[in-house]
Amino acid sequence: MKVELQLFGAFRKYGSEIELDIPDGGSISEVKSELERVLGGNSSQLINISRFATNTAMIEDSYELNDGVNKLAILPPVSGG
Amino acid sequence: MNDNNENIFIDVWDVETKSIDAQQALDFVADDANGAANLFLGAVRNHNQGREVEGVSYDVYEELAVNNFRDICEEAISKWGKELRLYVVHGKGRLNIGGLSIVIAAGSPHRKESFEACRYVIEEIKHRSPVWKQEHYIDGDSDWVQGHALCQHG
Repeated sequence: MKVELQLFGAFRKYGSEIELDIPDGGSISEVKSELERVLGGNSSQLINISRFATNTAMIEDSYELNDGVNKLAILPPVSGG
Repeated sequence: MNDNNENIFIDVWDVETKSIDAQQALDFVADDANGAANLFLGAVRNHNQGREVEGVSYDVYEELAVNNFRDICEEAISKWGKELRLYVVHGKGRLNIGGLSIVIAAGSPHRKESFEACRYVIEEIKHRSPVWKQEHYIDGDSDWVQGHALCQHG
């Protein structure tokens, strides 16, 4: 399956979007591992304090990915206002 | 954009081309039945944590932010009453010192509700909304503000 992941905030240094290939049946946990592998070692701390979302809602780690293309975003700690 | 609830106005826009308008916010929350209005303005200040700041860029996940602002406003209406009128605009893009990044207005029949609702909306946005600040310092460096981690089940 594919995950098209939008990037915001501190992840912007890696671009505005990144495409990840995840084994079918994979979970958010596999998305985190693949993202860490693609971005490199020092990205793990930021990934671990970030949250995933669709364009309508934040999602839990138990969110079920589909076997096609998943459009998600990774949200680092927020600082609006 | 006007929300499904006609008492709520929510938007995100590029503050490099269109400034935030406090009067528009107050006009929206005014109503013949409302005797109180509160206004919150967020502005870029010239320092943060000991560093001199010359500007801030705001990154916003717009689709999600609009949903999130609506959720927060609906929570406020459920807490402080359906007479409450709320206006929220958050800026995206770069602002210099003094530039307005957010406006929140709350209008209600009595002051207690408008004070509390206005405070609630800004505090929740700061903790829950998908918005990120990048500070630009006078030494030429830039850094993303550390911020609040989004909790699971939050």
